[in-house]
Amino acid sequence: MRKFNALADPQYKMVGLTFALIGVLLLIVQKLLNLTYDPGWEERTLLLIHYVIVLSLIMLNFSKEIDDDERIQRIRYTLLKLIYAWTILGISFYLVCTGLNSVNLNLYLIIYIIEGMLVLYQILFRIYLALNPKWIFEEHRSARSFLIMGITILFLIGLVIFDMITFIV
Amino acid sequence: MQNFLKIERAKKNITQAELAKELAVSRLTIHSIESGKFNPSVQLALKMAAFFEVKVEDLFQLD
Repeated sequence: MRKFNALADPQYKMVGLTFALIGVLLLIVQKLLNLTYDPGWEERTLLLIHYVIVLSLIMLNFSKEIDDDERIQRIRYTLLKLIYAWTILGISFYLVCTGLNSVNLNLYLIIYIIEGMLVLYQILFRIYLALNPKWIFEEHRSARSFLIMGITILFLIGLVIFDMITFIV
Repeated sequence: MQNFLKIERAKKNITQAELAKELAVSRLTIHSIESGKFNPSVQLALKMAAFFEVKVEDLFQLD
């Protein structure tokens, strides 16, 4: 089993959560007040706030628990594999749908996918910590589900490359 | 794999929480091992055996 020794200390969890909440609050405030100083100001602040939210969620998700033992590491490792695959699937699927057309390509949707997956990771992590499901700890898990996911990812990546070639030519 | 952790714990008359504290793991980890959900690492198994002053094979056995 792999160990995550490079994780931050547990107190960073609260820092990450605070910054993420501040980020969400700023998004709401900006939406409600609709402030505009100069052209492009809204875009720049929106990107900055989303950047802060993503960093805060990473800090929240990838800091140690108080009792960061091997059971927790196993749950984290299993969920990381799952969320990583889902994120790639989500982004690839979106890129395939837009056909890499820069007019239709929305950067925010990619950010929303990343933010959504980071939030989903945290929710699933808390649920699995509490429920402690047996399948998380199974040594010999069926490789079929990972095979299907792997083939799907490869297919989507292939489609993105195909889109890129078509887009350039 | 079956384990005799619960029996050894009963012999020593300590709770899951107390054992967890001694081994620096969470109480749920002890519970998971006792209920057979989770097989501990060799390191943790050795720590447990040392704590209960028994051999590892007396604590954990293959089915």
